[in-house]
Amino acid sequence: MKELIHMKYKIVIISTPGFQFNKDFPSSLEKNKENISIIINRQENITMLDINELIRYFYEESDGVFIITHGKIKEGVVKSEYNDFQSKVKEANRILAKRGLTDGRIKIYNWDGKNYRNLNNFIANYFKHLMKIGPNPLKLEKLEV
Amino acid sequence: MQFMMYKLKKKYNFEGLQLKKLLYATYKASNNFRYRALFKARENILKNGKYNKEELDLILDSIFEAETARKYMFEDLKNSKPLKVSEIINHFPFPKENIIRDLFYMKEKDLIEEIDANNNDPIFKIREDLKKSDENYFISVDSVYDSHLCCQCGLCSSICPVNAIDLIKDYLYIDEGKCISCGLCYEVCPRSFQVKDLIENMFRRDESVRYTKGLGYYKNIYSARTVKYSIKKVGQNGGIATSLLYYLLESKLVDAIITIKHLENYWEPKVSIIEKAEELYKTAGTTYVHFPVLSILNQAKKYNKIALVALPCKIKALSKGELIPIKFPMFKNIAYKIGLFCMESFPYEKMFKLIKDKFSVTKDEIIKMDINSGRFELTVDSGEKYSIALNECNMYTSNFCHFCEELTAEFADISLGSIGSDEGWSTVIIRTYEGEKIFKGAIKNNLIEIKSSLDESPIQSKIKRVAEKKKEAISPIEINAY
Repeated sequence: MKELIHMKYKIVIISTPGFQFNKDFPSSLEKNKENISIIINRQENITMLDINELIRYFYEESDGVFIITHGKIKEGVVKSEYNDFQSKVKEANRILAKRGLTDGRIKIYNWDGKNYRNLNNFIANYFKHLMKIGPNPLKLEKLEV
Repeated sequence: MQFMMYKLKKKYNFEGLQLKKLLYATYKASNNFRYRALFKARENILKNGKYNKEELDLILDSIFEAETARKYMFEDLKNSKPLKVSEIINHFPFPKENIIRDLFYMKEKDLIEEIDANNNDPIFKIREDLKKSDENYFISVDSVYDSHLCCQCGLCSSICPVNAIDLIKDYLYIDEGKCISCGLCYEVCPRSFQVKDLIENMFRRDESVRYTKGLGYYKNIYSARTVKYSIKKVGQNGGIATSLLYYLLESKLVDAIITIKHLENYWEPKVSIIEKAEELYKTAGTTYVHFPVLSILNQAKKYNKIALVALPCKIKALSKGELIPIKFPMFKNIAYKIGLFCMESFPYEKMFKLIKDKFSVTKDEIIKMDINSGRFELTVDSGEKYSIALNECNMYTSNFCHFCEELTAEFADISLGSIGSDEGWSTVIIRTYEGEKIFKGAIKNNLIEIKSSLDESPIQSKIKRVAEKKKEAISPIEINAY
């Protein structure tokens, strides 16, 4: 249990190359910074990410994946691509759950410029959620070995 | 002896596996091209209406889980010395039957090699050149048709999730605009990669069956005929097929039967679903014209249990479809497969061109067609009989028949034909428990009588001889399509 408490959580944040994180962003993690390592992964076309790429992060021992999409998704191709991507995230979560990585470790958030503060809250809540559900079971398996 | 029919387990159980390896296999499985193509086209598939959400989820899940198991096995075998099947079974916690199926499946897909195939416990190893990549792609079933190998079974059209395949009068049309390149049609096609070893292996594990090269695996052979007068009047030889179907419907062992029904124009039959025993009289008799019997499978999904009567190539297609690890809803209700002996079949137009060219008779005059002792025979309404040697019919025969090695529908539950029996009697090859059950049931219900058991008789030798001859005349099919 001791190891569990001190286990560092590896979280991948995927965002577009141009996305600027709020300067307040790290403050939301301040309380947990000892326990969290964050990898920011910049992707050109986030909605083109495939299910296998999302699953790969967990094979590589990530505990969670937080995806920030950017832009208006009210209608047309963008909306359709966003909906498709949402389905892929849902499917990836479903597959992961079948392998014991339950409770939706992949989260998606669309930022359209107006809800900056919400993003910080959302990320903070996501971290809380991850701490609650525990680390990637792969790490526990490694400990047992 | 206890009947030991090989049955695939419904589910893989991944519990107790090392998570690291399982997650890697899951990651590799999520890259599978069929899974990705189907997932991407999900909305489109549902809009097409062939599969509902539950059915599509089941198909996707079955592909994914089987693919995960195979990737798991593949990765482990990659790093091991060649292993015997028994060792592989002990090595993995998956159901034994599924491991055997997956090994032969991987072999047919050229992922692994079988060493010493004649051994009862063959040895498998990963192909050296595939150690880096184990993913191969299937193109559409177009390549099979273009190679003149398509046996017009109609299975591809029946399972196509976006209704992109049509079989119209011996032509196969693929609507490239609709095709989602999922490769399912190629996967199920009996003429793409072969599953003969796989199916044979399945039978081999049943200790109550016997084997001969010509006839394949079987339990018993009989000469039998119907005792029901109304069937005798319309039946082809002994009227066994119609009697068995009559028994199945009357005793409610099935809800419906897929077979060929003769419409008003007797010689232009149609693939039909029969629900009532009285309708069976319209299905009796043989035309030797081939039909895409399996194209109607999709429409029979609504029944709990069905039986199907078809030629060997169609039965083989069905057996392959049932064995591949994809849970198509159209396979789950097939309770009985009744196979008909077939030397060769004809496209509809060519059949009547043959009759016109060789006998100068019209369709309306014909009352019976038969293939017997290497001759194509025709009986007309005046009672006159015409016949020519089968080899004179070659130019009229369906192209795909030249690649078919099966005479007796080796993968049916029960196979029926005239070869080996006297006139008015049929030869019946019982192959499985299901086949035995319905044959005995029909006898008990006074629908069928047995003349003799043909086992060890000279008549059995005759079928064996003809079947072996057909096998020897065929060169193996090879299409390199992935």
